[in-house]
Amino acid sequence: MTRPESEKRDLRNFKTRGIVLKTFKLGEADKIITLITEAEGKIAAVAKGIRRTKSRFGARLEPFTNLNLIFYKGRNLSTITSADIIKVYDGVTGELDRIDYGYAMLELVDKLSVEGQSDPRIYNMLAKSLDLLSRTDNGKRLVLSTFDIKLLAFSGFLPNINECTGCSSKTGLTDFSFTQGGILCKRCADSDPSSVNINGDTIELMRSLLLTPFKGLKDVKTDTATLGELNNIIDKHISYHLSIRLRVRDFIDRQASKESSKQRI
Amino acid sequence: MSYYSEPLSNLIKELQRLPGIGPKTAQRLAFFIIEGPAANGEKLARAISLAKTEIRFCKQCFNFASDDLCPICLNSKRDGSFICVVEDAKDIFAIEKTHHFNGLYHVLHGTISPIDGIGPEHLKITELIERVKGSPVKEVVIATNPNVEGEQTAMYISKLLKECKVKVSRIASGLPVGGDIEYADEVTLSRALDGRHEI
Repeated sequence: MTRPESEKRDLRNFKTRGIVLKTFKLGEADKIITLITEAEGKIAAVAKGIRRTKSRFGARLEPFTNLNLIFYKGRNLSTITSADIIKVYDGVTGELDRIDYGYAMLELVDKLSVEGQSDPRIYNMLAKSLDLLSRTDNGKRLVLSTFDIKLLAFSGFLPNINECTGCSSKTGLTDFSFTQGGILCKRCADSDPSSVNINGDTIELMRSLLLTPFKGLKDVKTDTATLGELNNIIDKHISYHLSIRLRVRDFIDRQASKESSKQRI
Repeated sequence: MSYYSEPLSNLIKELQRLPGIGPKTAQRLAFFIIEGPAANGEKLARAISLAKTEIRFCKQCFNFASDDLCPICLNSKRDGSFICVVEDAKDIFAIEKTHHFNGLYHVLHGTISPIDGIGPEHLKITELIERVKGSPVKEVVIATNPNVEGEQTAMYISKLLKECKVKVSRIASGLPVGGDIEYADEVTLSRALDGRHEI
């Protein structure tokens, strides 16, 4: 049965909410915008003429913007036909370290999402995290770490942090194995040369960040060393299991080591 | 199977590598070159080869130059106490066309972009700081693009320049002349309101 002409036209237009992850210049005046959307998951779409000063899109399709969008489905790429701002996370873009942490969130969503697979939880969590990051003064890094752990859980990449990955023991957990993807007890760690030591506080922090909602983060107590160990393990775990380098996290590490060497001088 | 003889298909292939040139335009340009007088083709080839061998970066501002310094840095009528920082050499030509700036320039050759792995060390930022230190520069105008990466780069540079005790300013952003407030986005419009001035 063939569809009536009016219905066919409707199928080519679709509306959803989305957050801009990255942009890429295309030709003379266009850009390809990659977004995480509520209804359609990750989408890369063309914004025509956006680089012209008088473009009707203006600053709407910059990273860290949450929008109501209308797309026109093309044969290869969709085209953005309308974009209205829901929220601009300008608290994130107004400060150097917040921008870096914000970009780290956008990059992880981009790397972990596959075009055509929708999961509204990812869009909603990114919106919540960026909102919190733009308002938080203390514990900005903690917001990013919480985001990482929750996103890994949504995407099925969360390491096993409940029990020993080797023997299911609940006690004596001392190591983390990247190859086995989780924590190990002392006995199992001895037979896994790739495992690294992990502090009990770090395991507890991982469990607590997974279960604590964003609004309860202010009550989470931790110290720099524990958070540093958690970030180090999570970054390596992501690199190992996704076989990718997270450029923003490398950038943050490079900047941090530059700052600390400056302070030493 | 190629319909053209090898030299012609090579020419089309090379032209197609230029930005904004598709197969059809490349074919049209190639036919224009081979159908025109031989001297024109040679002139074009010579101009390309000369530009590639002669053009280098200006030692002071990193604009394109055929000598150690570019024509703007060599011009004694330019005001050396103002430096305008731009992302790309193309931006210099856009600003020069306004006839509103008589200072010197500094080309960064990009912007900080964590997502692409581009950090300050990949840009001409250290060179800018060295240039400003101990020089008669009074003001540095940062004219990077008004997008997230441009703003991030501007913030980073201004943080470094604070130690040099020099005035750092950012070009204004707001509504384009001839534009319509009705269609302006919230970010641009709020910037225009923040940057309002008394008349």
